[in-house]
Amino acid sequence: MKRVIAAQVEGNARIAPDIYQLTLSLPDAEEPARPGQFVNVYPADGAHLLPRPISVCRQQGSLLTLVYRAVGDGTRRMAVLRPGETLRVSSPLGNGYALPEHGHVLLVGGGVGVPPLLQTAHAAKAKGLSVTVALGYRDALFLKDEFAAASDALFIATEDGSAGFHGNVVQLLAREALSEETAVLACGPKPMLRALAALCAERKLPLQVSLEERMGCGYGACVGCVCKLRQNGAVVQKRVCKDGPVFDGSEVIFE
Amino acid sequence: MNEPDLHISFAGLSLKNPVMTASGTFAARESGAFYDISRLGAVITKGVAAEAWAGNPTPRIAETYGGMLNAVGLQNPGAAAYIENELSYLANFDVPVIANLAGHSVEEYVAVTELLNETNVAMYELNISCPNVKEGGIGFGTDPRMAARVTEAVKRAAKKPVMVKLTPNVTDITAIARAVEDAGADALSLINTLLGMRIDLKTKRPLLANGTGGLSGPTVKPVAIRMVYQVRRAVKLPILGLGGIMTGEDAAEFLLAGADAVAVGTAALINPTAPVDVLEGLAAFMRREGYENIAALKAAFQGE
Repeated sequence: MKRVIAAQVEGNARIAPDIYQLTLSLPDAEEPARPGQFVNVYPADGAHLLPRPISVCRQQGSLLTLVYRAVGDGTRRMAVLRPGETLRVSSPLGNGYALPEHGHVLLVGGGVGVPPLLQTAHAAKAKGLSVTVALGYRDALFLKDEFAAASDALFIATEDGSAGFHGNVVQLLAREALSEETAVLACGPKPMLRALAALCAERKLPLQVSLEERMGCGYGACVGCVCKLRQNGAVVQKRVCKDGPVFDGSEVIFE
Repeated sequence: MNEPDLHISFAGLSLKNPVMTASGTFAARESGAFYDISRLGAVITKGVAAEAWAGNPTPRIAETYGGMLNAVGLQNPGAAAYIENELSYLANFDVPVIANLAGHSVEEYVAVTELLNETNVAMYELNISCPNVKEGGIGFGTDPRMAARVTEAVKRAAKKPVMVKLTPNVTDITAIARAVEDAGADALSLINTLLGMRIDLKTKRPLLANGTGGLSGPTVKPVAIRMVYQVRRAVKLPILGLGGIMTGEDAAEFLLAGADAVAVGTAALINPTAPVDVLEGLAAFMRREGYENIAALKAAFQGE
């Protein structure tokens, strides 16, 4: 059964402006997260009763690492958690990325969409795939060394030009020759995903995108978070938390 | 002392305990991933209409102190898909299913009733908070005459008991309760969500794409308790009480106010196992206080 458990905070370090790396130890063995899955984090105070869905950056045994941006009241409260404190988290939820059986994957991350690709990169390497990673940041980099260790090639883009390519990550990729055998797995802001979907359509590359939406329950009961897909000519609505968060990039309707 | 007897009889249904799920906060596979749904007295499924509804644009959810606003807009796949996917799956569990019914007109309510008559549904819960599109979009549940008319029509078509879910967005809920009782309802459930709104201070726009939405969660509990108390004194029908139940103690409070059963809604979004946690909490409360059964707990109310 899936469950919500009290995990102990092992560390909660600021690794870039507003970006925190939270490491939790789970009381006993949890089902391992698949690449691209998320956990619900329950802030549990009167003003923030609903869970915050946070993608899994890394899970190693009973250690769970989440990298998040302290952007609203709920995540800002997470940012003040100290080692030894407890935090309620759910089992891994949602469908993750489908890794190909062989060949090459290109992982494309933007901003706070970067973290889940780390677990994905490790899983792809473990499967013997060749892994290229392209990461886009506004300014400050984070997790760069971790990605360097988990990939065969790493591209960096920054919007302010402080590191790597000056521009966004899709502009960077548009200049590269991408092999036709590449499966593209992406997570990032909607404008990035929209532009990437256009690029992949043009290059005829299969694309999987991880979407974000304001959620209620985060496990599929309330139908608060839906996205629109075009499937077989018809527009269908899917729950981001349960049917996703990863969807076929060629089907997603980016509004 | 012995384990308290939680069994109840509710509008003709024999239930192993008085705890149900509230409509819109339960899905069989998704909720069942966190707990054994056979432990509950009954499950009330998400609002279903004769044909599929697309619901509202996103964002559909907003938070507020002690609760949340939702404007899902009753997105549902229609009766045929509900029967095929949700009802057939629920047939694997030892739990009565109460189907929450939605419609934009009396005819639509009757249509979905007829579509579900030959299924394993044990009872209907009529969501009369939907706007009546044929009468200027006024909610059926805000006008005693319209509430009675839709109740009567569904009751005539229904081959199962009909529970009517009352909206709290009225001046006098007892007037609606009486009208619905006179129209032949078998039970009442209350309360549905309170109409609310929030505005994003950054964008200056409403937080919900729909503008307004239904307020639920622990913050609404005193309103719900007051309405259950008032309706208990106005009608004889069995009452399912809901609105902000987070714990077994909250459930006991509703039973004392006059409810015969309780439903857990928003709490299940905040804590996926909330329905069974409330059930265990209610049993623990009754053990602690020495009540042998639900009737004894209800009879302990000292209000008047």
